[in-house]
Amino acid sequence: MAKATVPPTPHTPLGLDDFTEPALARRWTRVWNLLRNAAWELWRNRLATMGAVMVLIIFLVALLAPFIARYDPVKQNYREMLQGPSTAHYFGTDKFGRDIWSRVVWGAQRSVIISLLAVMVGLVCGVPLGTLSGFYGGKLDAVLMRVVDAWLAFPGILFYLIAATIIQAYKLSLFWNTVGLIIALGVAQTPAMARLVRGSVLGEREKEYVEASHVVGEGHFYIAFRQILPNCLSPVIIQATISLGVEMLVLAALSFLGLGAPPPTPDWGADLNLAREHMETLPYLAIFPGLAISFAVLGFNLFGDGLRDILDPRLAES
Amino acid sequence: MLRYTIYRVLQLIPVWLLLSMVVFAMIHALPGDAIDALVPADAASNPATRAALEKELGLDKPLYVQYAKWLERIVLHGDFGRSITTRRTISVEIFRRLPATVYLATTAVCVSLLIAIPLGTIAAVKRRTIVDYAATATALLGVSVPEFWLAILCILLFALHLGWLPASEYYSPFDNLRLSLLHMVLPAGSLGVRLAAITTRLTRSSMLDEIRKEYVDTARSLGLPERRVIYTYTLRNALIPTVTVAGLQFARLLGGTVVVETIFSWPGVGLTLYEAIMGRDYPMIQAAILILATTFVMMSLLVDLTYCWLNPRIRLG
Repeated sequence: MAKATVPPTPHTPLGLDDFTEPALARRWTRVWNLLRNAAWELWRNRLATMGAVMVLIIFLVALLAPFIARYDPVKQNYREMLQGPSTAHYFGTDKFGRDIWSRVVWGAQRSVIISLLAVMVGLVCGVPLGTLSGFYGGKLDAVLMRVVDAWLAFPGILFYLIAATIIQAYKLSLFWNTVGLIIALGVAQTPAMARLVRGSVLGEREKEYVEASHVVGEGHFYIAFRQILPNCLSPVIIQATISLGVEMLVLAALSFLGLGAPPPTPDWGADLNLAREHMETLPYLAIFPGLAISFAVLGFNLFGDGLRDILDPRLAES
Repeated sequence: MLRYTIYRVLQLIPVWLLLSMVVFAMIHALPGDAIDALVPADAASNPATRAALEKELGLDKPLYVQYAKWLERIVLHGDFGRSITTRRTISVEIFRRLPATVYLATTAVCVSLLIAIPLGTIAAVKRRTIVDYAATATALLGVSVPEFWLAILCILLFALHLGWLPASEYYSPFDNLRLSLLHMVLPAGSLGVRLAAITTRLTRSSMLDEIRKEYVDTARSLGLPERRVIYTYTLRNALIPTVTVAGLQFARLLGGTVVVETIFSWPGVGLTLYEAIMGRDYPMIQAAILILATTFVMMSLLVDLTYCWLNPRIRLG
């Protein structure tokens, strides 16, 4: 059978006539248009754009850390300790002679990696749980939501303290220490995500296309995960973005208390703790790591709010 | 209402049991033997005394028996054991320090409400004006800034640079009110600013919803002065979620003041928890976390019931 070709039309601005499946071409065009609309909406909302730029800066700094940092963040250099900001050391040096700019930059990488992976763990655990719970309802839903409620009744910081204390007691290498932290932070996110998804799924479940799919004989998992879930993703994306900021704050608090990574690791919270000793003589030691944390979290919050305005205008504060 | 209260109280029990299981399991999740976590290091070095101690503490029995005995000791006798580092009775230590934490939490929530309610209301009433944007921006900043950094900045500015306010020491309000309040400003302020940011956004959106309702137009059309319409009628209804959230924040603060107490050397339960963590004093950690979590759960229940009482639509509908 002759393969149909699609001539470039105004509807296919990318000239997708190479695709032999017109359906595929239409799908990609739709995605492209969606992204263009989203970008335009984002641009309209100035604050959200600013948030997006801030998030981009943080990600770039984290990615390019080995190239941006000028010195080794861990190596001690007592000849240059406790200096103020200068052209040689942008943010000054700490009491071990380490360049604070480098420590902030490498700390950004650590924070971004941990927060990102923790949120992903939360998504991977929470979304399927919430979907199944909302889709099947009944006993499964009741039991799961009871567990989630019990979980949410526990004040978050206490759980993090317990987890971090246990992880610390094992005296693991930096890698496993970090993995443990990521899992703990991610697992703590799961109930909130599950509940969010469950609420959306419950709403979608009653719609006609679901009933149609049932009638046609589609399998349960197909309906739940390929048809219902994609329509419920907006609140999840928004929550995930804001959670990124929250996880960074939690990580900073844990490191501040000494429960994060073992000492020479560059970490924003840990640096703030070190700065406490020198508050009277060298205030800038405390200013820069905290500024970095605030910048990152503000970026995620602004971006999350902006996403909320774009994806779900009903949720937006007018 | 009574039925709902009983139902919620009964619901509390399995939640608390789950909580206690997690706290109990903490000791056994640590590396090494449980005995090393429960008694001072010098007492557990000799193998003979070790075996004797294990028998005495019941560590040779199966886990569920240990859990049952532990639970029984706590619930019936209020006995949390002795601290490893200070060798003092844990329950006495913690309950001695609880008032300081409650004082800090109360003041922080009061400060936050004092800032947030006016700010949120004005931002809602004067929507999309410079006041609204300023308030929203400040709220966003307040939410993004870590509270321990804010605390450090406040110390740097107000205590070290300007010398206006002290940065440590605690005085009970019953002993010396003036000194007590003076030393309270920075800790409660740092905590309160972040809470205020959250509450401002909530008050603003809540007021925005209320103002759109029909009874507000009715009141206006009756010729009532605008000020009275807003402050006497609308605000009262809009504040219900705010009050609820404030209560929940107070409950969370009771467990979450660890960092701020550490910075200001505030002698509360948070600082006790921090010192216990640093000193690997596991019985104390267990006890502190259990007490804080229980307080939080009970306060959340209280807040939920109050919300139900304030908003009849919830309990009847």
